[in-house]
Amino acid sequence: MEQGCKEHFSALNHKFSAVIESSFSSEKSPKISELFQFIDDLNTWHEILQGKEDTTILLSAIKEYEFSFQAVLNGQYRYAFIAQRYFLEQVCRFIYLSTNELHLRHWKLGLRDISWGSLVEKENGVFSKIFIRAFYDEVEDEGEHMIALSSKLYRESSEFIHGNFEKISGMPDKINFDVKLLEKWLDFVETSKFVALFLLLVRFSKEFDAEELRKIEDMTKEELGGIEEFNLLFA
Amino acid sequence: MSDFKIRTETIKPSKILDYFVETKDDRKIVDRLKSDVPIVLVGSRGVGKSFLLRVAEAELKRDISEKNVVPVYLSFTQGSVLQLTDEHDFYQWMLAKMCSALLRSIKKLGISVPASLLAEKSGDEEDHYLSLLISEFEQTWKGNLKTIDTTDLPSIDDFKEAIEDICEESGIESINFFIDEAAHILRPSQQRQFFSLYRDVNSPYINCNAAVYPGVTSFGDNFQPIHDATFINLERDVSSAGYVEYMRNIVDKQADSNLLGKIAKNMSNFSVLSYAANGNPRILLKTLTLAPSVSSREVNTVIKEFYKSEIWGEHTLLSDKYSGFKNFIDWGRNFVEDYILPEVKGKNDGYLAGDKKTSRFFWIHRDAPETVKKALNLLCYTGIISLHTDAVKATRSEVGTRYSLNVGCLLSLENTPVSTGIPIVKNTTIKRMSEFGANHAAYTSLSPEITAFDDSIINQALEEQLAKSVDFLDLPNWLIETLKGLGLNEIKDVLNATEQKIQEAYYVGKVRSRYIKNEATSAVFEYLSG
Repeated sequence: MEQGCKEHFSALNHKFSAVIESSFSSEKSPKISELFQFIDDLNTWHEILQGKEDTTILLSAIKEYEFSFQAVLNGQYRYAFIAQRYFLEQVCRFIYLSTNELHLRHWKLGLRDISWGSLVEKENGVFSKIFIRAFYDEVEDEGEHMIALSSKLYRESSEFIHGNFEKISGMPDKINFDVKLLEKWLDFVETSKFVALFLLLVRFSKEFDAEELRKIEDMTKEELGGIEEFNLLFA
Repeated sequence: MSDFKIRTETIKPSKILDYFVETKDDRKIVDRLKSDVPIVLVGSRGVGKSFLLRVAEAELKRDISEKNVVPVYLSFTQGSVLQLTDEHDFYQWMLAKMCSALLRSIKKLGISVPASLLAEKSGDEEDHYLSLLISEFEQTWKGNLKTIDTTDLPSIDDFKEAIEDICEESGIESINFFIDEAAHILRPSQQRQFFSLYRDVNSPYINCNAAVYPGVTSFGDNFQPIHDATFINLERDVSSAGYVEYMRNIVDKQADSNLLGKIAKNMSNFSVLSYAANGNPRILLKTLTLAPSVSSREVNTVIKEFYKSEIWGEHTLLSDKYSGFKNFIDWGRNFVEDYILPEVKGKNDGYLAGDKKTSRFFWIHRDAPETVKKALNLLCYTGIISLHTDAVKATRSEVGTRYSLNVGCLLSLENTPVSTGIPIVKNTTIKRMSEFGANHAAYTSLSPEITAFDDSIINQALEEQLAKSVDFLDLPNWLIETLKGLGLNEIKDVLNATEQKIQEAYYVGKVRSRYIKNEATSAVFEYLSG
């Protein structure tokens, strides 16, 4: 019995290896590596923020981001989408609760949660004008577009997790490499990365000293250089 | 990949408000369309005329219990296939269409009709009679010219009286008509008839609004543009504050998250693409699908290719379809490509080098030949140029018309539009314009065989079009192959085909045959209408 179980999982392990091989042999390989590097950037943010903020949720977001890669490279696409969406949610939650210690403490105690809808709510959410104005007013006009973008991203990701038969029925029954699902997941991860960096910059960057700014300069210019107002940080 | 709805016709009327991006100017237009002032909305293809008509319709429907104004939307696009022996028949066709659309709208709103439009007929008989009559008119392209009996159709006065009765007895404030594709650009006789009806029909109980293309200028003897309607030019000025934001909001409504992310990362490139679209949302969405990563390389390529060739496709298609007007159409293109664009581009290069204001305007003397003005009207219709201001004084106080060039066409001459596009657009001043006098040398090459747009030429062109292969229709390949498989090889075969005929194809039942017939017919009208 025990031996049979072990063999079952060893066989699975072979399949995981095959999917890893196929993924990195595909034309998507550079993109996988590029986006995986973002874990280093996230750790840089964690390094800067720890001691200043409660980074529990940020750490959970980083773990989720990493797990999403593990899942996708094992052919567990549905779980990859779940983790990618949870990463997005956790980053937004981290940013939101970083401004409200009481709510954060209640959240940690399990007394109070905050829904996705509230996180991206137009009037008071993390992309609302008044929220962005408080921390990085130069980009407050971007807020409305970020709400559109994040809401769509969340909805599109959800279609691969539950509720959309067309997407769910497209999921492989067995552990197999699927380039279309990989491509879709990479799109979502890329957009999630953009949203995460946008929020981290808006919320914290103006409090950074020169050394801390130097640490985030390259990633900011690379990812958010198209939003001119962020370049002012390094002028 | 974002799946854009680039034509209003593909958006369900009940969903139209979900796609509406409200600007102050658009709000003003929609409010005026909903008011009791007759409006004629003028704009080139794709700027959003149909969309705003539909928004006004949807808002009036939404507020029906409060405002009691009944909206009636209809399109005269099928006018392109009418071949009528008597010019007045077009008037009758329009009246029949209005009666039919009115009855349908009132029924849909659940308003009982206490008075009859056609005095002698009951409700069902009215519907039946009107649909047969309209169909009879719309079959005239088959060439079996005969007199169509319209004696049971109400006179315009009877129509107005019937509407007055309906309004008073049902507590309706007024009926607002929204007439799309109101007058064919190349059919002056239809334009005259339309404006004659437009003038006749307005009353305290009927407010008629219409969307027309620029260049529709034959108003007939009765209609006076200044007194009988308010003309609104639907232009979205690329130099206005908030222009890029507005275009971005339109894209936000339709694009997927990946494209929105790419846009946010490459805002400068997106701005250039928006400027190039020259205020035309349909063109922006089309070009975005060609540049899905919004990278500098893609945007440069798209601007240089789309605005150098593809945008001319529609203009050139006009000359294919209406060979009688070929001289006008081809001359217009040559004039823009050989004279205007190089001149403005050359000047802008100098202005930018000297840190001066730039231009995208040119001016034509008011005494320039009429044929030249007609050719310019056709360029306005396809959006290559737009009429900016009439009666502008230029050098030596000479008076003429200022036109603006399509920004995309102008930027397509740049080596790297993403680098130079923004300075060119942001520094534009209307004070700088290239002037073309009353007798400019370029005009001499325009010597068309005909000097006026004439219905006989249109009718001849229509026959040529109808004999063309279904390959010309903008339909998916599978559908074209299905049609051919049924022996429907020419455009006229499709118009002629019954749903039963289409059901002869494999796996095509009633529902699918209706879909195929509708798709194919609308593609035919789309092709013929412009």
